[in-house]
Amino acid sequence: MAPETRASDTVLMCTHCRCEIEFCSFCDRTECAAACCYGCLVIALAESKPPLHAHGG
Amino acid sequence: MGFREVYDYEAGKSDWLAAGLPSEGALARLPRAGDVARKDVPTCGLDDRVGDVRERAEKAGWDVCVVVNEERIVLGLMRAEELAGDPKQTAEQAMRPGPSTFRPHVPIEEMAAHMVEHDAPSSPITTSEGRLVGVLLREDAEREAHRLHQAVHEHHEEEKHGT
Repeated sequence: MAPETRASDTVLMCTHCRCEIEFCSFCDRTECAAACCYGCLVIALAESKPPLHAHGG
Repeated sequence: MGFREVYDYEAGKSDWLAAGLPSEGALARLPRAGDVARKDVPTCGLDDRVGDVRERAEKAGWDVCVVVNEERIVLGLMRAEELAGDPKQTAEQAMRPGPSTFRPHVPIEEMAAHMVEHDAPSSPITTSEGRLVGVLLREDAEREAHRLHQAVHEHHEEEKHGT
């Protein structure tokens, strides 16, 4: 098989949930050692939001 | 309570914070990505030439430029690698389209930790509509996070010693 048609040997996975991703959602890179999917990134950053008031204020 | 004019912000508190609008309370005093982001980051349009953009960015002491539309909605990002490209190319051809962006209300220590973990030199900060707020540099995020950590530590020490 020609190199240009060979499937990629390495699959990038989210280091949190282990799902397959094309690139890291934080740094947009494919070779990130701490690769993170969009869903896990949103959860990670949203977790640190100030808690909303129970009364909706 | 004496308020005569009251509005209901239907999009909710999270959206208010994500737009970088002012808030009150103990947590509001903590530095956030939008507070630390540099607002003077150079911007350019899709049709601007890479050579011109690079020259403008270098003069202003930057190695990054944000590609925006007329409403300052972020369309792409040009880091040092893209700015060093063919000077005749347009920003649209050279930019990284649709870069990851972060909301102004994300705590600075959270951004600093992620930027270190991902070895990211800078991160664009935008409102939830994608409007550019500024660019957060890792060195700024780390410095602010360190300062915050020290302040919290000193506060705990004071409380422990009853001063």
